[in-house]
Amino acid sequence: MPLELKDVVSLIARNMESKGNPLGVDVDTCVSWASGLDLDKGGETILYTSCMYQMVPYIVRFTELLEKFEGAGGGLLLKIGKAVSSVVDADHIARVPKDERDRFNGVLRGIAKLLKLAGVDFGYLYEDEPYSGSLLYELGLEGLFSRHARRVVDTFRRFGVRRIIVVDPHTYYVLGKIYPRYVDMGDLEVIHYIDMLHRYIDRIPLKGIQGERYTIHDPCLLARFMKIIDPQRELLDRLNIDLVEPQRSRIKTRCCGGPLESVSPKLSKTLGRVRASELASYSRKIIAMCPICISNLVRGGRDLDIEIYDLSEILVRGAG
Amino acid sequence: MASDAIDNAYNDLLKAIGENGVSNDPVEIGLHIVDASSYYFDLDTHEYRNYILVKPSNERDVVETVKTALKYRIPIIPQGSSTSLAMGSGVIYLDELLQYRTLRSAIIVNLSKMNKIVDIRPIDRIAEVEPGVRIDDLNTKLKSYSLFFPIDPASARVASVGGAISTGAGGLRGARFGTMRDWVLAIRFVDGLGRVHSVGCYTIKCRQGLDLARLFVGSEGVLGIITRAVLKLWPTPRHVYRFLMFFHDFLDAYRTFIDIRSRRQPLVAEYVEDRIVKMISESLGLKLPYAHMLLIDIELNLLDEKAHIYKTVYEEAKKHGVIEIRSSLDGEEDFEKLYMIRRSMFPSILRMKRKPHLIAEDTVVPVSKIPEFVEHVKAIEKEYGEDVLLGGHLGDGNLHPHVECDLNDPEDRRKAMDIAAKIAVSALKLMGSVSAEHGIGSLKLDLLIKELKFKNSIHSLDLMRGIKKVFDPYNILNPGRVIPVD
Amino acid sequence: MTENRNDPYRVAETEYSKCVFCGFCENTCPTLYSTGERGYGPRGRVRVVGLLLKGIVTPKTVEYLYTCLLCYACLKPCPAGVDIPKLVVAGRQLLTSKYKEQNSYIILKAEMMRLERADA
Repeated sequence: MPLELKDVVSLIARNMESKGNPLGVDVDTCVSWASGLDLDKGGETILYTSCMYQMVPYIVRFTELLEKFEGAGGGLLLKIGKAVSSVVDADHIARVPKDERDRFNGVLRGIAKLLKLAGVDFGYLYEDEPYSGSLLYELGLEGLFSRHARRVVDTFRRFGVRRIIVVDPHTYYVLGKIYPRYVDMGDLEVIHYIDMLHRYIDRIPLKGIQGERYTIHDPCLLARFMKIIDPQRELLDRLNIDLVEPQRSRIKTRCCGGPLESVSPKLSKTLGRVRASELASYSRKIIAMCPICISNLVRGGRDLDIEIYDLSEILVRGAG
Repeated sequence: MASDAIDNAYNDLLKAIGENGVSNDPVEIGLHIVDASSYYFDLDTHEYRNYILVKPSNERDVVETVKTALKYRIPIIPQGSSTSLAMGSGVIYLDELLQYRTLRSAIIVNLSKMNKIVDIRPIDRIAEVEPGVRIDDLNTKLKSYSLFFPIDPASARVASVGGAISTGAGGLRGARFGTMRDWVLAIRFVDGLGRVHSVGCYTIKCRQGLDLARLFVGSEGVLGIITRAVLKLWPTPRHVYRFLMFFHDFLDAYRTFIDIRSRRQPLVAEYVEDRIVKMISESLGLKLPYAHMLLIDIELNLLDEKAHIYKTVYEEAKKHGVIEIRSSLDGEEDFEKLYMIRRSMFPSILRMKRKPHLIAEDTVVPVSKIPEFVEHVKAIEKEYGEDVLLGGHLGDGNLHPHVECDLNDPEDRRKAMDIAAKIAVSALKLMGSVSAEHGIGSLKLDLLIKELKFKNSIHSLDLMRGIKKVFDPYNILNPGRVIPVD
Repeated sequence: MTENRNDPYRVAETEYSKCVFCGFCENTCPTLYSTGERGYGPRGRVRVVGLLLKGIVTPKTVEYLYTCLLCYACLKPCPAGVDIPKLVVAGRQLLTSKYKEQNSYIILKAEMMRLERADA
């Protein structure tokens, strides 16, 4: 039995209201990855994180919290306590160890580094960076979503943005495919960082790394919907690693179960476990490239002996 | 309003089976009252309360369900994946006057939860499975044994073993491997009194009195609910080569097939007519010739036969004026891609059709009579001014005629039914039959009667009714299907 | 922008009318694989939206529609070309919108309206 949906929805909507993102994480949490990188604020081309990677450790904990209430009937809000967002911010953020936060901030720093090596000039919106609203769309909150999307596009305009480099499949999907149905995007261009790196692949000094075996997990939206399948493989190919394709790979990839984490954490975990075990049968080291996949494969693979890496973490190693 | 009997039966079932196995939720009911031939039919909102859904986990649950149904005299509809093309597995049926009816109340027994592969015995080449196992899943499991289950209905991805037995499914490999009746060795079932039976053997040879196991092939749930089946398996063909050929007309394609067959029996021989090929080209964005298509699969006994087979097929095809030929042998075409073109027949017609519904008829004639059958169909087309598209299993004479129709328009429906009847009569005249592999359900009861009359054997229905009565004296198992009421 | 194209009712009607209940989509669905319940598969979800359009709604409607991963695995195998994920989202939008109020099938409506007011 999934959670009582209106509880989940209002929890998420309240967090959106108070903090501008579905989990209610602080602005600091979203922007601290960029400190010391000297990125310009705004500019024609920006790196747009939508705070997705930064949220991974919180998603894992938030979902594990929700999981405890699944099957216990409705009234989730009452059960967690009135101040849901404070539960999430204070309690749960405090419980995310620093090294976990550092790791996912590191993913973004790695992506920034790779883009710089590729000669791409980009800025960042820091505390003005809005969340994309993809979860609002997925939950069917059309009114909230379309208004949110308009505000996001206004923000991009305000900072003179013309090209947006996105780092995760969900943001790419919602900006690239769903926004145009609801807002006038004008000449805003949306591009995924993998495509960007691939475009300038010869500029990046990628060299061979230790010959370990990895298996690759394609995110559903990236592979099936956006058809970004080969560029990441060509990039990895430059590292001379032993890359194994699972049977369910490329457009036949199997979902990590992540998108269900807020609705039915238990089923979500089961699906995460199914996929993690499948991947583990090829190699204990797994390359993923989506924050939602990573968080759910971590959850589903808790008692499996596996290591999950983001694509950028592997690429950065090859870039010395 | 639900009747007292339904409410009481629901409570009894809850007690006997537990809440995970029983539902009267209108939405969940709504997912199970229709099948692939009645999905378009709308029930009135209040009618959803007249049905109970049971999802047995084991044989005991099935027995309890039958006993409850008996107690309250509520009909049972057994179902697997609900892909019946003959209105056999939902609550909607056609009566003898071809009018839509719904069962006033029913217990729907969906067997998809009983999906265990109980045993695979590679030495004996048999598999023992529960009815909810999907054929594709069984084949996936069998891969590591280099064995496979050769019955391959186009719906193998979704079709369950129980459903395939009950409809007597065949599919693409019919010419080489026959239909379900050749591959079922034994079954367990629960009869209409709630008694469990185990009939048939684990061996290929078996003389156990009357062959009750095979009586279940094509019985569509009217004799009992299958709870186990023992299936025969076959070694996976190792080297298969695929040819896709295009011809100016049907006869060229047909003769090529006959000539190739006289030199080597193909595993698969499929035909798709030119108008459908055009639809496939358009919907897939391919550049196929606007011509009649023949797909042939040939198994090599030895790898060094390659050149020989290649030559044989090319020679025969050339002789009959082939326009274009592609093969997986010369390495220029992908094996699966060639198959996809054939597989896209049904999807392409669906996407390109101009009327809301598509009816796939299921007549079959002996291979020697196929050219005459095609002629007849052309004449019927002309007579009614409606397209009848032909495509399917050339290898066993089971070309499915496809007719577009608006089933919600009584006049158009009547016309489609008339066309179907005409085609059926033509098949009968050519030593054929009205249904090859989809089953009778309720959609084809009138055609079954036609066939038996044609064969001067209408009294055979008495035998069928008698058999039904022995298995299910209170007529609670899928009533009104397969066997026309007296 | 073009309100009509996004109209969830229209999207749902258009996509639902294409489905022929063949079930070819089912074996690709991760949630069906793990639950074995028809409503947890694409064919089931398409029909759930069909029932929703007719005003047949229960908590199961929410359960089935909201457990879809929107992973797009079912899109390619569908012979009739139903855009199942789009249909599912349209179904969710119907559930959360004020659409067709007279059918009183909007389980989430009260909560949604509160949120809409807060947002406006």
